[in-house]
Amino acid sequence: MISAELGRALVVGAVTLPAGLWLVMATAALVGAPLRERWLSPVARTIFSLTALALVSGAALLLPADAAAQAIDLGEWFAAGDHAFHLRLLADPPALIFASLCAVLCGVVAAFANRYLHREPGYHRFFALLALFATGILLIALAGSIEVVFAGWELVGLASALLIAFFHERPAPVESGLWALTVYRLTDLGLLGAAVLVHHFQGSGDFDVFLGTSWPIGQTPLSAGQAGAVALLLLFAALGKGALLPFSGWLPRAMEGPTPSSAIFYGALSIHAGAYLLLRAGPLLDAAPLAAALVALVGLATALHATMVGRVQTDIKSALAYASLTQVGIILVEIGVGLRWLPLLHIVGHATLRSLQILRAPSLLHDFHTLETAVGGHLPRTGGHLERLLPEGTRRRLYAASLARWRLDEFLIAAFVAPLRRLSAGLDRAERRWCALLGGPAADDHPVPEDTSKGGGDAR
Amino acid sequence: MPAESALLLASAASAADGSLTHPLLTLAVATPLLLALALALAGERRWTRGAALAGLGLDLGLALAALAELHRRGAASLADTWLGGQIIGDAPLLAIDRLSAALLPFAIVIAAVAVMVAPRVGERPGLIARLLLALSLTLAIFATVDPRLLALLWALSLIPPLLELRGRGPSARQASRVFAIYMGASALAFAVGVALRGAGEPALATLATGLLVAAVMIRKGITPLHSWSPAFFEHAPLGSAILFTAPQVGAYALARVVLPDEPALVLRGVAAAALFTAVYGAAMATTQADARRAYGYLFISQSALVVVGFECVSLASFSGGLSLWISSGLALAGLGMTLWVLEARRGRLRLDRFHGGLEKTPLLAALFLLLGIASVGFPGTLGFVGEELLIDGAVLEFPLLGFAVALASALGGIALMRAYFALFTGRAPRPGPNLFLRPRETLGFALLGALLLVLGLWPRPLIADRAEVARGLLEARGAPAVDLETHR
Amino acid sequence: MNVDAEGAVPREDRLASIARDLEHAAHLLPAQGPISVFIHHNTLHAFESQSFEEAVAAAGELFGCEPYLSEATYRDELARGRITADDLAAVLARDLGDAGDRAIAGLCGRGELRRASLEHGISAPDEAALAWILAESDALTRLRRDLPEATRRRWLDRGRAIYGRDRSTAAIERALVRELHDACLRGARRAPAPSVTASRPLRPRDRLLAARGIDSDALVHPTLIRLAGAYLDQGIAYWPMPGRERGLLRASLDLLGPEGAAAAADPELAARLPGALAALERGGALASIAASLDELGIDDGDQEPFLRETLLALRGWAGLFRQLEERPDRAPVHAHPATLADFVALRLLLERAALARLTRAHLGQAGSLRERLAALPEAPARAPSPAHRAFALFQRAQILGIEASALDDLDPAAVAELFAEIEGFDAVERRRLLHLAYERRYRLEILDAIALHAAAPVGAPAPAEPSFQAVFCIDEREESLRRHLEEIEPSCETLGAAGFFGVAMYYRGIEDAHPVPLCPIVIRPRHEVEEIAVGDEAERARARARSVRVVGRLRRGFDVGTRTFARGTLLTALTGVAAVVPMVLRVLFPRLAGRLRRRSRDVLWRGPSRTRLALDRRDDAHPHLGEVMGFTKDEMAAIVRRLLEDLGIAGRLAPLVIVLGHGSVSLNNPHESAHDCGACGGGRGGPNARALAQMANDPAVRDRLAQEGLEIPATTWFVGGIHNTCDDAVILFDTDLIPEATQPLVERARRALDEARTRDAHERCRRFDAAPSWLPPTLALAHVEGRAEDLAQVRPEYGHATNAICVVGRRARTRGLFLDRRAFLVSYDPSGDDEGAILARILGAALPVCAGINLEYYFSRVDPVGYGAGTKLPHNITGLLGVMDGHQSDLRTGLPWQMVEIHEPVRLLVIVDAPLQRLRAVLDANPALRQLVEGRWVQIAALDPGGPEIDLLAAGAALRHRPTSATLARAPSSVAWYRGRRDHLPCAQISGAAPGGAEEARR
Repeated sequence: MISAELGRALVVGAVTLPAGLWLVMATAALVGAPLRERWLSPVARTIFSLTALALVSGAALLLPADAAAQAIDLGEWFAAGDHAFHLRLLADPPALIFASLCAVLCGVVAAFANRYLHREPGYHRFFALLALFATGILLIALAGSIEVVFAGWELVGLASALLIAFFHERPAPVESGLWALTVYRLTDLGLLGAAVLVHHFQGSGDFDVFLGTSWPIGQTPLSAGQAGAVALLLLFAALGKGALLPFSGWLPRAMEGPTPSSAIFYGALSIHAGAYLLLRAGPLLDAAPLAAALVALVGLATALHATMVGRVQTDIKSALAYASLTQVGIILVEIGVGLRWLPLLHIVGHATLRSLQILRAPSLLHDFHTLETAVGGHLPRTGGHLERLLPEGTRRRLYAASLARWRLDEFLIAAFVAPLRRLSAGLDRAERRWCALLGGPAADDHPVPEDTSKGGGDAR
Repeated sequence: MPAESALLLASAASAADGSLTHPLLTLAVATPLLLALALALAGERRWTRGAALAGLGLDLGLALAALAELHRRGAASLADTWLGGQIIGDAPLLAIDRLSAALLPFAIVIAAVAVMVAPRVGERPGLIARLLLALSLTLAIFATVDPRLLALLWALSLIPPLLELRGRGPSARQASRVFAIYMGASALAFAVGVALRGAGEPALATLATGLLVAAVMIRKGITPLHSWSPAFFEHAPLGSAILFTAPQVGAYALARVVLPDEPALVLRGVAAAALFTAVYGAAMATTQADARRAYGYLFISQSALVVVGFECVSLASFSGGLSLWISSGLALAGLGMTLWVLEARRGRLRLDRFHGGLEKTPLLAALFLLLGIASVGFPGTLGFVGEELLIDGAVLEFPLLGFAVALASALGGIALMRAYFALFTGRAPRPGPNLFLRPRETLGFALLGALLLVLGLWPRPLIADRAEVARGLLEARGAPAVDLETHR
Repeated sequence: MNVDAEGAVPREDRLASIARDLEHAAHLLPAQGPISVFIHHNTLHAFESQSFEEAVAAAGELFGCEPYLSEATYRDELARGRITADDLAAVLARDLGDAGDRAIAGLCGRGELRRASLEHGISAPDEAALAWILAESDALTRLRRDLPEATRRRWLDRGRAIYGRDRSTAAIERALVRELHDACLRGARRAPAPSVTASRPLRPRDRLLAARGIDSDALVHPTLIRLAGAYLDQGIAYWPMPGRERGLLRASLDLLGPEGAAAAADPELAARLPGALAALERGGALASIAASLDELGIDDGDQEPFLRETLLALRGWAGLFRQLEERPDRAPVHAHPATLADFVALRLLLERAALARLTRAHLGQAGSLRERLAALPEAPARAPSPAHRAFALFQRAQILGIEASALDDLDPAAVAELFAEIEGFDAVERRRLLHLAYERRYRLEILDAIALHAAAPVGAPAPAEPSFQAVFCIDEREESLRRHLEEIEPSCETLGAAGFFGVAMYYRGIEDAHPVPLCPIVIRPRHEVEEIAVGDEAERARARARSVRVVGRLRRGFDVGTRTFARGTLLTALTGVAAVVPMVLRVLFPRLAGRLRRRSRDVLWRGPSRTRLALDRRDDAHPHLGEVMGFTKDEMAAIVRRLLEDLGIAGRLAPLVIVLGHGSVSLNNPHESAHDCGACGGGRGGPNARALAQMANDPAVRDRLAQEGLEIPATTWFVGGIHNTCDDAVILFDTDLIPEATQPLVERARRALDEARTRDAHERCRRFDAAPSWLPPTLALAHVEGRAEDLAQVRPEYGHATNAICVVGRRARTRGLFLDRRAFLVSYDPSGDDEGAILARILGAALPVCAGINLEYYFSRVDPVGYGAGTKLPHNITGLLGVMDGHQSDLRTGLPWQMVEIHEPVRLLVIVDAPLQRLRAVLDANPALRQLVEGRWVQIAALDPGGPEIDLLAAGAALRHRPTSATLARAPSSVAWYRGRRDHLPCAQISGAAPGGAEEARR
């Protein structure tokens, strides 16, 4: 079993490499000597290549090994009384396949970004965040317990939000980043909730305890109701990261970041994290058909939404974002109807193809010209059959709704954010009034903010 | 026998192995006090900060020596009889046990960082002396064995922040009055509660319990008795406000005076209120337009989680609460101090627009983010460990508690990122000079950040220690196991 | 709800006035059309009637953009010697004239005071930062670090005299500085308050933002951008917007209207729709605008400025509507009826709805929208505080050695004068002077170099009878290629002419889908030319076209399919994994991937090996875009004649004349076209060169020319070709037609060109950080080839960056001079052009083009975000028409940062090899040129054709250039001069003494 030992060591090494890179960069920045691009560039390329290599070779070694060999226990992290928290990874086939995909794509994107972000003031920031992201997504892929998933989940969320807001001088990326983070944090409640419930039911969040050991046909010890509840919470968690209905609005907005991070996050990895999680939790879905049906339903609704909205997008990145989302929805349908290997294959294929397409997005004009040359004239018009099938009024309504992206964000804001704001503003007023009652009137020392933006400034 | 019933320490301190032969604790408490006096007399000098830091280094050494001594002896507590011997016979006035031994260095670190980063702008002269004075009072509270003395110190510790608020002039008048009313009430309630509790009458004992609980809730800023806090953070000098709140004296009083022998129902009530505070504060923080006010709400939200653990449903959640005490104290103090130094560079900070300036203070932005995510329990920081334990231990009993903690943490995260984006991103209206961190500021923040990261990645020693404390307190409370059993 | 606003029928003259104001304001919009054909032009074209300096200030104010580089940048240049103290003194003296000696408040001269501000950084922090700096930095404890040693010593001596010798230097410094700061503060308190004028924004959005911090554009822009994007889209969306033939406003109202779902969520908008539709029916978009103006409460007097501000709020999109309205033929695929009035009407409609919503929510329900807006408070203007003003004085006083006591002794009038002078010399003024100094330094260097080189040229002289002649575009990127060619083949002669070589045509290559115009943008070509296969190749060409079409259809199907629902599922799930191969190849090994792709294409379908241009006039075929197919022989003769005259080689043709157009091919580059030939209107000039050669070789054309007295020797052969400025490939066309006798010469020239392009690649690589400086030329060539193929490469080439000068004249005047790819080189022979007719036509064509390029680079560099397109990294192609930042923003016009980052923004310095009088006469006769020169948009100088004297035309007078240096650097070869250096290089004479330039480079 030496090969299995080596495989495990490689897998663990692959997870720690990007984290190490981040630590080195953070330390260097803290002592006032941030790595210059000249140094960082080879270091980062090496680390990401090594990560990809280690993981792929580790996967090659571990895939044939038996289930026992695929569990990696890194020991107790901390303990209080009889509550011990173990760092546990699970390197079974789906984990290894997804993790290899993650590592390879991160490696490719790191190589791409190394040239793409050359001389960019945020070069450091980008690689620090990419390292954080890589750590997080590998933790999600290889997690052996729901707590480890959560840790990875949060890292991915934070890195995503900060990368969306990468071009922080303009308000639009920052607002988009904040919106994505808000959606993430709220749907993360699903994951934490699932963790809480699993602990409540089983006293442990380890996968082998509540999912069984042999994916994809594991047996969960939970009752149907319990499994359904946990699965629904996981689905809720997947809604945010996967941009599923009704949380799809952040996805096109996330295209504010630099192209390589858009490719890896919203074309490839981050957007599939939710689907992967549900795939992982397949035994729960098997035990709870209702929850499985809901997964399929959400997937279907998302795919329909995304394909309609995607069809009217006139900029290439939004069009690709919705194209991604369409496939994610379909993958969810596949998971919901009980397929396991097909969605895994679909994830891998889709992630690869789509990230290549996003990386190529700036070449669109070039490609378009090439295609026109090949076809020998203007490209054939698309969308005709939609127009043949639908009566004019419906068509127009559908077009308008799609152009407005079904007003999903507006709906979320009206339904949740605005009431929270109103409530909080009301409570704040009440508190201030109460203080005024106790301590007399407050001095108004908050003048109206001065206008800092010039005309048109925020359109940039 | 009020002292005996109130204090498990008193009995423990009389054990032969728990007495100190030298006035270690007295020195630890007195060093900042004497230093403060000396600095106040000397006036503002160029060496003031250096001298204060040297003194604090010494003090930290003393506190750590006391901690080491406690562990070396394997004793439950250590009493310093020197001060008591000087005043009232042999009674130990100062003593530490496993709970408080770690709190002394904790408070000293916060104060030391505050002294390191304290800006020169916008503060009245004598700031450092005042910070030291506040620290001394906090240390005295953490090392006090006698509830009557605790009540006295409780009242005394209100004076520095009150004076600070008054010094702020008319703009802080309202905040200062509100603070005086709330804090006066809490000091009074605590004193009366302590006094009544020995009376023996059941009715009076109930009243005493009520008063003590109210006092603790006010001091800790627990809803609905928290209203002083946002106004306080909004108007008080930030450094003093942080030193007053971050060590969380209220939690100490709760652990010391209320926890040992009040019925579970009372604790449960406090914990429920704290849980509500956590969610309420975080929700309020997400929409505030003023950075300080948002910080104030975030503070009461995340520090309330400490008290949630005191519900004592399980060893794990109690340990979680105790370690959150340390982590939220450090992280929130650090976060507040980043606001402090940023305010010195930018003036009043608002969150309803983007200020820009990431490139002028890149490191400060990164540290703000780091300390911020540590405050809201992000994985990889100590806060995550604490919350994980808190939830893990409690969910067997109350899944809802887990959801509420998660919600508070989620909302806190949103509030934090909103603040980060508003304060550091956007385009600055015009080019200005770089306002990079000074080396002493970098050092102070880096120290805190590194502490939180290292403890977050390698939390075993601290968690083990806190679990030990939790076990001790539960045992002292008597029949914790039964408590647990009956609920199970 | 103000539906009534639409009720009244607007009067005709009202509509006419709106149309007029709109037209007027529209001139300010960016003139950039669809991005696939990028035309360089002066960003501030609309301001050309003013002088450059007035224009940048006025436009800066209007657009919120920077007029010059930042003060900090100039100061860095000062520190590293790019600007010298002499330059500052000179521009100051020139600027102030006699007023420079006037004493300010009896303390120091005016010039002295200004110079102190220019030479030393004066920081102007905002109030909070100032407090922090005073408290935390050593501003109040030490003298400035950048004081000259003498000044510092004077201060300390004075301090010792006051505070006693026994105190430490540090203590004295502290006391001095504090005392001085206190005195400045006292002075600032005594000074009269500065007058602050609050500007009242016209747009209600700006007023609401200033008063309440609420931005109504946040509600308007998302909808507007989506509608505008959908309307103009040229084929990205799978499902096009319905009803586009009816115009933007109508199509949008139909979508937003009762049938559309979008409006349901915004009752304010829904309430306005019936009125808007009614207005549209009655008076079109202008009536709708009139109604909006009424509802927003815009007075007639404010109408024009209001429309201007409204247009500028989203100026990229507005500009595109305007461009497509004026030149619908430039739309790449569909030309829908786009009008600016539609866009503005829609915008105002959305704006009204948003403002109504916001004012209702935040300002109360009472009154009409107009009344609510009128009640908005004005934002007060803020005057700088005394501390702030004192700090400004404090910094200068240290530099000038003004003592505290001297400040305290000033009477009120003097204090007022002092502060007025300090505050009058504001940041824009300082930057203007710094910029003048920055330009002066470069101008002097160049003029010195040209003069010295003219006086004493080194290296091989220009051959009297060249072995071959090579004609290039005037593009400054060809300067290095020409120089290397001359170094390698000293017997050759190189020439420069605008890269369409006089052949203005629509051209359709054998593989092209459509004809494209290949000529300067100001010309609309009449002629259309096709490339056709020759003889039996025709069948092969058709076969290839068929198979390419099949593959193209498949590929299109795949691309669209992966984005759809069902097909996407199949394609991604089943074939997606295979994408890992192209992905890894293209990202990690771009050059290899490019080669594989080309090779596989060649193996699959070999195209016709022989094609020709169908140049001759055909009346049987119908042109797609032009008026006629092909040229008559007379037209051809005229074209050839003109070019040869312009070049000045009509009478002395070599046996071989190579004509090279140029273009640039790169991936991942929406701005690809901006790297192509400007003289070909953002196209690639290969076909023009090829056409010219074919014309000049045509016996019939030669006959006609001979009749007119222009004899082309029978031994002379013309060969056309193209130079790819991105990967430095050079391709020659129609080589199979070359006569036997010329063949060896062509071989020789081809070898020389091959070596020259390799060295050119090597020289270019010195500017790329990613290319190590040790690369030998062959690897450098591989490096630039890799760049062109690299998906991740945002700087495939640097384009026109670093352009700074334009030399119009004989190559002999600059041959052997290393000009660092910074000079447009236009051939002109002053002999035999005594009337200046040739000069007039050369300058009239070349100068506006070169100035346009130069000024576009200038503005994109000084404000990369405001005038330029910002960084490329978040760019997102929309509608095949332009790029946005992220998912919805204004269209980004101008050049992206990655194209201009190494550019030195200086105005073009034109040096004309002609007598001063002739140049003056030409300029006077051409109003466009006169405006450019008199407005100082370019700098122009005459180089005496017979000697080294240079006269600079400045402010109407001629200024003889007095050389500032006596010697010019010298290097044996270009590579010896640039090796290992990445920055801009000064001029040098390339002696050519080392015949082994190549070995030098390889070493």
